[in-house]
Amino acid sequence: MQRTRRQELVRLMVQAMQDMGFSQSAATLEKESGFPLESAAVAKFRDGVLKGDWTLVESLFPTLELDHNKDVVVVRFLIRQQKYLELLESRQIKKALVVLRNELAPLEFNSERLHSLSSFMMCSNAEDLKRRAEWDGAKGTSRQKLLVEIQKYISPSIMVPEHRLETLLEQATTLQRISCLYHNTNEYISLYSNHECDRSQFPSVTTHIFRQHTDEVWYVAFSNNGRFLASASRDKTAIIWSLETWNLVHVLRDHMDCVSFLSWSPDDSKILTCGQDNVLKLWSVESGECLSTMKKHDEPVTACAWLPDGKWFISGSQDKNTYLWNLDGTTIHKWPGARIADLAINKEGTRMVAICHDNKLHIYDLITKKEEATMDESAKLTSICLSSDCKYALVNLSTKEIHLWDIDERRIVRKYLGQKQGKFVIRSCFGGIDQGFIVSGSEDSKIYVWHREHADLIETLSGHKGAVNSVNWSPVNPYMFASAGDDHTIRMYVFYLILIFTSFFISYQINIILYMIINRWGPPGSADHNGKMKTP
Amino acid sequence: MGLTYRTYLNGNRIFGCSKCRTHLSTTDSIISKQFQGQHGRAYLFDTVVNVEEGPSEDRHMTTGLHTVKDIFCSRCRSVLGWKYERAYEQNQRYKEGKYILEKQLLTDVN
Repeated sequence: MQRTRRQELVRLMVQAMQDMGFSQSAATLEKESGFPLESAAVAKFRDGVLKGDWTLVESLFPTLELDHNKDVVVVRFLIRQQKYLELLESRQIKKALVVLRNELAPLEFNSERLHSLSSFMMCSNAEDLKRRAEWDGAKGTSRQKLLVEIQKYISPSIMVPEHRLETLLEQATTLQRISCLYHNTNEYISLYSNHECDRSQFPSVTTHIFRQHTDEVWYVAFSNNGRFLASASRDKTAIIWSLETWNLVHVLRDHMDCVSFLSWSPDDSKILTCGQDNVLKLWSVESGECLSTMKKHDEPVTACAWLPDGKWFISGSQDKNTYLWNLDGTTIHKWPGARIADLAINKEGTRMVAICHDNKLHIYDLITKKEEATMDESAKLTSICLSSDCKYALVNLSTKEIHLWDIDERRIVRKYLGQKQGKFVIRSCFGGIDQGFIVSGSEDSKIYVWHREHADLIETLSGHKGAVNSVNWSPVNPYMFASAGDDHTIRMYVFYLILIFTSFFISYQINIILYMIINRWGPPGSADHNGKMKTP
Repeated sequence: MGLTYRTYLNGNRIFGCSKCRTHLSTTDSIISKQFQGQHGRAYLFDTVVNVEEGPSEDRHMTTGLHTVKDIFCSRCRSVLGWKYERAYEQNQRYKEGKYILEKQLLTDVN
């Protein structure tokens, strides 16, 4: 190891030992290696600040090797400010005034702060001072905080930043986590070996196929509690499936034309379906009955979404009108102007993002009901999906690209390529425990999965025959997702953690049996019948 | 084939399918109004949206032999006219790639 690196490592180890309370070991290491953590002067400086010995502190300034003259002024100001506040706290007003006039003012630094400081003279008592200055006193954490502030201006090799080794280890585990292509777990990342999630833990195998639809399935969505799946199909019905019994629960049959979209209410008691017959229908999940039909649009209803309290919902359509509805079927607000292809609402219900026919994304503030912004895209958009923190939006383009937009900064942060689409509406979604995967359907009957950060294509799953129209990941189980295809089927991809334990156990048993067989009836020269070795 | 959303046009006068009012083309796209179809007058359009094409066929027309494809409304699948693929006489070549929509099967959509 290089000499500089050795010195750095030893000093970091000393600091870490001191942090963990092993001060004797720390002192031994300093002596044995000859690399003290801090020079004596710096140690005195640190001590001086924590004890409030300001004269000592100021005299040790030259040892700190502060870079610029500007920095010297700033640090002096910070120290003298603390001195002043402590004097005020202990009600030594006259001394405080002397500090203010003769030590703080001549620095000619930050006159605004200087004015605030002088106003604290008016405080009637220490409590008032602490409140007004947002300062917790000499006995509080203010001295430690002062030290941390001063350290920003001191070279880190003179005064090592706090908990530096711990910070470096955090960085290493974060890097490993980000590099892990199949990362889908919240387990503790050990320092003993490099973290890498196994590919076999990704749900890449179809475990169930639902075949009851009689025509193309265009959309699937998990319920918010993850116990049910609902699908919308060209056969004019929507179906609710149970993910506990893996059976059909209800067929929602009432639409006059294909059902292209649906949305679960926040409490999973109701479903809204959007039809190409221009109507919106509200269904009860428990009974499977249609509770009401909303006939306001003149063109197919393309998307709908609930507000978080479950009392209002929004529907978008190709007829240029987007409506905010009440549960009783009355419209409260109308946003005219854009032909909406898909929309999504954030968790708090304060913002709606919609994609329209003119290749634009629209952001609406749901409280003021005004349009906040419009972002242009380069081609026809077919679907939009919001991340769970509602900071990012995923859009599919008909030019075979998927774009990840940062909504607050209004720019594209990632592009995902590889899937095929052009004519049809293909949808994508976020997946995995930290939403670290991007999953999309495709017109070539495969499902594509990308690593969200690196935009690497990590999986291509075959199985469907015909276009895969929609994919949806379970909101509660990070190892389960569903896909809907033109082949009238819905495929479920589930990874069961229990399978690993089962196969370990079985293989262990098989090993034992094999060992016994070989040792009892093995080749000549091995242990004989009684377990004794034959000597030649 | 999966879900498709219909294309919508902007313009002064938009022609749509008489059965389902799907947008097809606009007056800006008309090349000629002097054509005849099976149901009477027909217009030659430069671009048409929301139509699907059938198989290629060779047809003898008053203007000569042409290879055409019948076009259907993408929503209700009713026949609307045809598209010229190839013309075998030099003075008919201008029709290639263009569409005929029969006036009777169209309606005005504002």
